[in-house]
Amino acid sequence: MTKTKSNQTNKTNYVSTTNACKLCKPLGACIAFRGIENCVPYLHGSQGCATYMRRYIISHFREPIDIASSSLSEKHAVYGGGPNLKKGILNVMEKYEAKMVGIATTCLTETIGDDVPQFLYEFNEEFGDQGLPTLVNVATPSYSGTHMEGFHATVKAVIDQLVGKTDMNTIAIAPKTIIPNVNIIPGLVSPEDLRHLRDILEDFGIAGTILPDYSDTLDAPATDEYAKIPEGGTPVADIAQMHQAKATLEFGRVLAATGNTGGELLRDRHSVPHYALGLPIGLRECDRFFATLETTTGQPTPRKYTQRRGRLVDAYVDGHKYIFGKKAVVYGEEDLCVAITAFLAEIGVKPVLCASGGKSGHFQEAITAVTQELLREPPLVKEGFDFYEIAEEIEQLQPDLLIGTSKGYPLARKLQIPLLRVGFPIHDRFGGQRTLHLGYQGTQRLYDQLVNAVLEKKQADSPVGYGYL
Amino acid sequence: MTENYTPTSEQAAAQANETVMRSQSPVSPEQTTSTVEDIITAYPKKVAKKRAKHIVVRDGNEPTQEIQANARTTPGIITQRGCAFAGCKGVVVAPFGDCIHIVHGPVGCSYYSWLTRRNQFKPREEGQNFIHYCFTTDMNEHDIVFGGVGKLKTAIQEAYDTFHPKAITVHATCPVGLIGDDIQGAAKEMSDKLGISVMSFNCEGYKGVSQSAGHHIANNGIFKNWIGADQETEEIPGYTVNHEVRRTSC
Repeated sequence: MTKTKSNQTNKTNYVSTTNACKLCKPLGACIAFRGIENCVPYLHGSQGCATYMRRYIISHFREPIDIASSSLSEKHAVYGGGPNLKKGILNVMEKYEAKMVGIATTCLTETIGDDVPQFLYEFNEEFGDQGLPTLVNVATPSYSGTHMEGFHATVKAVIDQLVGKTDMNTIAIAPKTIIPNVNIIPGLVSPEDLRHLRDILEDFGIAGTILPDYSDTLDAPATDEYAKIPEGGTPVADIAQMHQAKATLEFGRVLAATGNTGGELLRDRHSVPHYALGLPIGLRECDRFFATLETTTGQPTPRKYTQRRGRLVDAYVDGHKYIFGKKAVVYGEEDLCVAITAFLAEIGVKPVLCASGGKSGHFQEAITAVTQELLREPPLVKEGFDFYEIAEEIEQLQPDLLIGTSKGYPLARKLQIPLLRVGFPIHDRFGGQRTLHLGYQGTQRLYDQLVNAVLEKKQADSPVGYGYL
Repeated sequence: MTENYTPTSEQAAAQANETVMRSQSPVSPEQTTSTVEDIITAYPKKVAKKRAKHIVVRDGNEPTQEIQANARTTPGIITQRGCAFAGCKGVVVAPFGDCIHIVHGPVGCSYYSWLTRRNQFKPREEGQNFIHYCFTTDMNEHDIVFGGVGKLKTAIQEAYDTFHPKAITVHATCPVGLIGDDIQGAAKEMSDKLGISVMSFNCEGYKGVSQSAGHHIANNGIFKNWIGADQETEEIPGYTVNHEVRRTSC
């Protein structure tokens, strides 16, 4: 028995995980690869991984996603998965006419030690005359890290393997005439967020590359004909030119603290100025984002956005009487937690617990950075937490609302408090993929929802049922 | 053979199986063949050619008939098939809502099989219900290198201490089989220690051609260890496997 008492909270430290608050690494890789034009995500491992992740991604985005697999068996676990990987890529080429195949590894292939870069080198040697798709590979063993780490590792691998390249034996990379002005690396945000970022760039009148951009591929319009690979995604040609941009804006304070990001690679290898920002949620983080855009583009923030900012401040004032002093628990992936906590701190809601399944080692410092000037009492920050531990912690904290993914529902139900659904996965409400979090507009939406959740609870609990609040 | 000969239960089962295998179907083979042909011709020509190999009319005298549905998936083809783990934990075992199911492996496999549509369960009055829970050892790099049996035993102990379930099941994921964690031994040890049934399934994802392999692994385990283990308790009406799962060695 290795149950030990933790100094801080007097709770049991469990070795096992009950109701995890994180997903596995290859899932993040699949979503990121899906955000590249004409790219088919490919999992090198047993086929269950591809089927499970497809099913899970579909339940959030409500959009088909094809993930290819090497379908390895016992035999391949013993003798290696190289032949299957090569066969698989050839089949994806034939059936999908993909311009790019994004290959992520799984537990199986990482444990047996398959050397994917070597296999791809051999593949290029053997079939290089056939007009191969662009091949990008990333190591994503799910025993080290969460879906977010898989996502970021994939973005970095794409930058590492594609930026600045024009002469690989591939059909996809051709020089483009429009030089991007800024690169935005937003992290795992919703398709609606990505569309909003595109609008912002358009309103600033600048060309930008958003990597990855699954706003169309994971939230596509209905079409008469089924497209094997839906339209949209960041074009490979644009990615190849990311080194020519004036700056890279990369979201995520925790990500920035890891010091191992795609944006930093662009800075170190290609001297693209790098701005590490928090996810633009809340007034302050949004202000930083827009100020950075102004600096890098030399354009003033369009009036549309200054007006939205003004309306948001107005709403903060109007809604304050309903929500100030309410206690909230924030959970989910670390960077979204940090951004939501920054937002809560400035509207007068007390974040009492910030919990994540991730274990970056930077969660606490990121939360402190966004709250220390705003909150009298800092929230409890917990890394590597699961929902069982959150439930234990909550007993004493008695929060008024929860903010996070659908996985907090049983807890909200038990405590009979509202749950504001943000992030991924949302599979017990409709339109999770269209949740807007970012910008003044996203913050406005979150704020309205939060106030209304409090009002609804108040109304529901009232024996009278007042209809004028 | 003497008159007093009574076959053991295993022999009886083997005999029954043999009888079924050799028996004539009430439907004539000609009828069956024509029905199958009707099904096949409904498909487009190209699909029909492939599909024909997936439907085989059983011939009682041919014990080694092969069916194409049992072939491996072509790599790179997007398949609807899952893995042995999905078939075992996700489909067959997880709906036993009053047991605790521990997934021994990294976090993903347990997460994806957590409360999916198959995982419906109606507890009996005053009965235990763990259907909303998702237990895993959440193996990390250290466990992959140095072995995860210790972590598994601790997880079983924690699950028992916290919830006092009548039975615990353990499910292996890909890396567990590859690094050679002895989950059967761990389960037996914990079963002896806790005095409840702790059953383990070696349902590593790379086994077999689809989730079907997992169904077999799960069913074999359940039939071997649980069904009929309690001869004394009267059957409760309804769809129950066993009222009181007694301690069994796995």
